Amino acid sequence: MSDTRTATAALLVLTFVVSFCSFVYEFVYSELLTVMYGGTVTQYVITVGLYFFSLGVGAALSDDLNPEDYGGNFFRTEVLLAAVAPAGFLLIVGLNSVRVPRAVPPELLWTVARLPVVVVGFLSGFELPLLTHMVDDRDDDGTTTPAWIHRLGDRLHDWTVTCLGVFWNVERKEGRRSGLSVVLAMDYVGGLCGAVVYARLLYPRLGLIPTIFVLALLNAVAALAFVGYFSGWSWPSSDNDDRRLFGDSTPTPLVGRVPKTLLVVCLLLTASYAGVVANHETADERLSELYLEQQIENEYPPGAMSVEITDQETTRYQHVIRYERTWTGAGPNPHFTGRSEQCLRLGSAVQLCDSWADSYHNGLVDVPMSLVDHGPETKVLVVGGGDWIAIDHLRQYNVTVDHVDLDAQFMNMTKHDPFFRHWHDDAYEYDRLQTTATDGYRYLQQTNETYDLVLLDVPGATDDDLLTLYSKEFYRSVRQHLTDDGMMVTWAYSADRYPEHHKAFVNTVGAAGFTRQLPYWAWEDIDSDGETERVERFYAFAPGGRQPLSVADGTAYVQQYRDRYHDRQWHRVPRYRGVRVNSIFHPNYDVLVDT
Amino acid sequence: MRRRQFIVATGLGAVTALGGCLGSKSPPPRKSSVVSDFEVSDGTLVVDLADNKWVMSRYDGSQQSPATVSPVGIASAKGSSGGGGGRGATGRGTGGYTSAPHTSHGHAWYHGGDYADDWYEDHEEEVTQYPVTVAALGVAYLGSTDQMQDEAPDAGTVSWDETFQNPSGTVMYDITNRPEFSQAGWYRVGANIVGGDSNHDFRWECYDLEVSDGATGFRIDEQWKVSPRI
Repeated sequence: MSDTRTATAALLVLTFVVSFCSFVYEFVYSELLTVMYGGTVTQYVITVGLYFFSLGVGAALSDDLNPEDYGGNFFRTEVLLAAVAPAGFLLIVGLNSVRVPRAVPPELLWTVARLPVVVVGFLSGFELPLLTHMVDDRDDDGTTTPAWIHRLGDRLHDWTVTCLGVFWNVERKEGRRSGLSVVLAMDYVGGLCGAVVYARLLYPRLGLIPTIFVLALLNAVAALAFVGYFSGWSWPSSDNDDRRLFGDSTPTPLVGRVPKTLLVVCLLLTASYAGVVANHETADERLSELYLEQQIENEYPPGAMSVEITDQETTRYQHVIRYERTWTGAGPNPHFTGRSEQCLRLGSAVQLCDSWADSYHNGLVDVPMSLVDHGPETKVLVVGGGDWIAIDHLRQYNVTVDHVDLDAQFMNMTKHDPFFRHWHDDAYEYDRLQTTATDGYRYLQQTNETYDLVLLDVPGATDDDLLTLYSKEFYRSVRQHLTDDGMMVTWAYSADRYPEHHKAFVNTVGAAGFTRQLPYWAWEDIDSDGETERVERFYAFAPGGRQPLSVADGTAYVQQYRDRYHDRQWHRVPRYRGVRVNSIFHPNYDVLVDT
Repeated sequence: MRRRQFIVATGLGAVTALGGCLGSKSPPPRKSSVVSDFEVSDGTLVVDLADNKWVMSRYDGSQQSPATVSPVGIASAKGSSGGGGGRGATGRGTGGYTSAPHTSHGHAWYHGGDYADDWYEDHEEEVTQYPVTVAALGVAYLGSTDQMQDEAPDAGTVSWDETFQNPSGTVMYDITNRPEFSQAGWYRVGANIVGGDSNHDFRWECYDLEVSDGATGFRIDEQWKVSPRI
C-alpha cells in the first residue's frame, strides 16, 4: 500500500474518531445538563441546537486558518478539545456544587453552564474543513486502491444512484470523489457509531463521568497519533506525491513545527486521562460523591449540615442515593432529633429520612384509612412505593393490596437492606399483597379492577420521564378505576414554593374528573422540641361528594393528632385561569419543579 | 459573505434564538393590600392592617370552596430540593432594598419588577381582585441579617413564634419577650387571608422586616412584601 493511500486512510480513520468523540460529547453534555437542571427534552433540544450552531460558526471561521498549516491547526484543535471537554464537564458540575450567591442572575448561570457546549461545538467545527483540505491535498486518485474494493464500491454506487434516480434527476459521476464527500461520509459513520456505542455501552456501563474522560483520551490519542504519523520526524524519506502536495522539492511534513509545550501538554493529558479511565470506578464514585454531598449541603445555611454519601446505585430507571446528614449548626437542630440521620434520594429529590419516614406514611396511609372500611373487602392500589413501607402500614388494616412499581431492581434492593427493613418489616411477604413490576399508567390501562383507595407514592415531578404520572390521562385512568365511593390520595408540593407546579397539578387533576379534594398534613414533632410540626402535604381527591373525615372513627394516628384533623372537610377542586392542563400529548412543563 | 457580516448575522441569530430560553418565565408575585404599615414603638412591633383588604388571584371565583385556614409550622416536603427563585427584585438583607420596586404602602416588592406590569397587562382576563379578611396573623423571628443573607425564606408560612386569630385593626407584638433571640434582625409577619365573598383560602401574604437596635431604640430599616407568585 502506498504512503499516499495509507495517509488518506489514516486521515479517514482520524475523521471517524474525532466525529465519534464530537457526537458523544454532545450526548454527554445533554445528559449532564438534564441531570443538573431537569427537563430532558429542553436540555437535549437546546444542547443540540447550540452545538450545531457552534459547529457552523467554527466551520465558517475555519477558512481563516492558515492553509500552510492545516496539520498544525488540526493538532491544536484536538489538544484543545481534549483539554476543554472534560474541563467543561467539571465546570457544569462545579456550578451545581458551589454555593452561588443569590445576587448572581440565573441568566448568567444558564449561559455559563452552556459555554462548554458552545466551545466544544466551535472546536469541532474546525475539524471537518481541516480534514477535508488535508484529504483533498493528498490527491489520491484511487488507482492504488485494491481492485475488489473498486468493484464493490462501484456496485454499491450503481445501486445507490439507481435508487436516487427514482425520485431525483441524477447523473452518475465517475472517477475520484471529492475530499468533502468522503470526509463527510466518514463523519456520519463516526457519529452513528458514537451514538450506538454511547447508548449501549458507555453510558449504561461506565456512566457520564468516565465517558467524558474516555472521549478526551480518544481525542488526545488521536492528536498524538496524527502528529506522530504526519510530522517531520516520522515522515517517509521520499515520496513524489508528497513533493507535489506541498509544492516543494523536499518532502514537507503535513504537520509543521509543533510547539513543544503543546506536545508536552498533550502527553500529560493522555497520561492523566489514561489513569482516570483505568481507575474509572474510583474516579466516578469519588467525583459523584463530592458533587452530591456539596449539593445537598447547599440546601442548608453554610456550615449547618454535613452530608456523607453512604451508598449509591443506578438502577435501570433511577439513581438511588443513600446518605447521612449531620447537624453542625450552632443552634438547636430544627430538622430532626439528635445529630445524625439517614436519608434516601432518588435522583435529586429526597424520598425518605429517618425523622419523617413514619409520619410521611401515616399521612399517606393512616389518614385515608380513616375514610374507608378496614378488612379484606377493601381494595387498595399503591402506585410507586418500591420501599414497601406503605404496604407495611396497609397490612395493619388487613386490606387487599395491589402494588405497582416500575423499578423491580429497586424493589429487590429494598427488600433485604437493613435501612428499609427497619421501616417495612418484611411487608413484601404480606399475604394479601399482589405486586406487579410495571409502569403505573400501563397497569391501569390493562386492568379491570376497581379500587376503594388509590395511593400515589410516586417520585417528585423533576424529570420529563415522570410527566405521564402527573398527566390528565393518568389521573383520569385512576378515576375510572375507582369504586363508587373510591378516592385517590397523593402527596403534594408546597403551593407557595412551587406555585406554577401547584396550579398546573390542581388544574390537571380537575380536568381528569376529580371534583372534590380533602387537603391535609401529616404531623409529628420531628425535632423533639415539644411542638408538633407539619411534615408533608397530602390531598385526597374524589370524583364526587364523600363523607368527611371523622376523628371518632379515625385510625390511631388520626386520633393521636385529633386537634389537627377534627375540622378537615372536602372542598371543590379549585381551578386557576390561564394555567394549562398537563397532558401526555400536550405537556405543560410547568408541572415539573426546578431542582 | 464578509467575515464581519457573518459574525454579526450569526451572533444576532443566536441571541434571538436563545432569547426564548434565557431567563425565567415565572409569573410575578400576586398583588394585594393586607397590611398598611409597620412600626416599632417601645420594643413593640405594631402591625396596622389595611382598611380595604384585597388580593389578586387566578383562582376561578365562579367556584365556591369553603375555606379552611392554612395551618402553621414548618414542612419538609418529599421530592423537594432547591427550587424557589425566579425573576424580579431580590436582595432581602443584601443591599437591594432601595433599588427594588415599592408597593403603594411603601414596602419593597420581593420578586417585583417592570415585568410584573407587563404580565398583569397581558393576563388581564385571567386575574380577579377578591376582597379578603385576615383569618390569622403570625409573627416569627427569622434570624440575624447574616442568616437572612444565607437563607431568606421563600413566600409562604414559616414556623410562627406567635399567632393572632381573626385580628382586626392593629396587632401588637413585643419583640423583647423572647430573650433567646437577638431582638435585632429579621422578622416575618404573615397574614392568612380568606376570600370575603368566596370564602376561598388564599394562603399567606408575608412581610419581612429588618429591625435594628439603635441609640433611640428599635427601628425598622427594611420592609419587604413577600407574596406567592400569582
